[in-house]
Amino acid sequence: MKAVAVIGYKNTGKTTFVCRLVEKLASKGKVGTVKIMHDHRFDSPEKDTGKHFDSGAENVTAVSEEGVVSIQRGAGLDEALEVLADRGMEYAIVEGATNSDLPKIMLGEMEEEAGNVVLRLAPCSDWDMDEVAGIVHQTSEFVTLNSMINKIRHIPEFPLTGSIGTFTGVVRGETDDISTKMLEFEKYESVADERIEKICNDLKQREGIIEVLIHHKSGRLMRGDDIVYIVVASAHRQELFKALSDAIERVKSEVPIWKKEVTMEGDFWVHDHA
Amino acid sequence: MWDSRVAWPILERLGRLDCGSNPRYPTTILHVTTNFNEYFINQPDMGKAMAAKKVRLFANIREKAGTSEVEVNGDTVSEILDEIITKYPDLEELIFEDGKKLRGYINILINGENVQHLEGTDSAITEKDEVAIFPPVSGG
Repeated sequence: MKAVAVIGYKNTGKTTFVCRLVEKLASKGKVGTVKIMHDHRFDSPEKDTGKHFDSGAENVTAVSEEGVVSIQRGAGLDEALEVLADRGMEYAIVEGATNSDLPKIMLGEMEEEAGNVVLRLAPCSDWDMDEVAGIVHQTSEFVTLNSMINKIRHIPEFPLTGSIGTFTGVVRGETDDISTKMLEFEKYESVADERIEKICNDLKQREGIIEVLIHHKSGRLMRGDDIVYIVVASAHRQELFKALSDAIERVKSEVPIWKKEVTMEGDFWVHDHA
Repeated sequence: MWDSRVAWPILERLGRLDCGSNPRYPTTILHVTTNFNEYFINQPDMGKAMAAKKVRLFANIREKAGTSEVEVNGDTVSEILDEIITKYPDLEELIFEDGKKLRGYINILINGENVQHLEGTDSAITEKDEVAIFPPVSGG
């Protein structure tokens, strides 16, 4: 899923921009949007849903003919984007989120420093939405395990699938006496992508293996975070588990990615201890 | 004494046209000649100075060098490694073991291909190639 944020002061035309971008992208794939609101209560305490919430419900969902609204206590932008990715959105447009690390489209000028601005446009203009769509397509993907499974469910060969298996690599917190605070992953991007693609293609040559998807995160990951997702779709379960197992072994031995461990005792590059 | 028809294209290629006045006029041949000789005296390896190669470094090698990309001269992997060690002596113990032997676990790629599948440290490098040096991988 491509995820971008549209930022700018009031009256710069953000909502109009988002709507035009939704229209443009909807012809290419499913679009989800997120609106960042401040000081807003979704349901007044007089309404049934408000009463549910005030009684202590963590999550209150309202279902109507129109659809579903879910009020999730304590959730934020990350969770909102995960929900969109899990539901198979191909694009997520966020109105707001100046402080996030999403790639940003800025309308007009802003005094604050906003990171990762990929496009600056004039406010309230006749923007070239094809140009904007092009920029959106160049941003990095927001991937969740469920978005990968969703992708597999929609490939043309899916009817041949009898089983789907997944592997998730996780940042282990405790190893013997060592407590890990976080891991930092460095990638040789272009070559890593090529090697991952080769692993997927090699495994797909095997009898009964229909699709293999691999996604490895990079940058800083905290203890308990997910590192790598592997999803395999096969005709029968017999060939599934070996393919999953071989996939992770090959990722670990062939893909140019390096792990630096940050522990309570100090930092070290993992191969130093090998 | 160099004919300007000989000196001119050579100097042009070297990017060093230190001629005081219009070099088309024969009267400046001597001036050009002097600079040409001086140039040779001062720049013994100027043939290689043209083609600086970009080498990408990763992980602890990048940290030790303090940079993720270095520009060095050399036409083979061996030559650029020598240059890198000269410029970044701290890298020597990471990359080589005794007697200038490349450590077995160090990977060198040219355009994503390991030099072990090419001509090893004798593999040739041009300016268009992307070279990368890194320690054992540890992803996943």
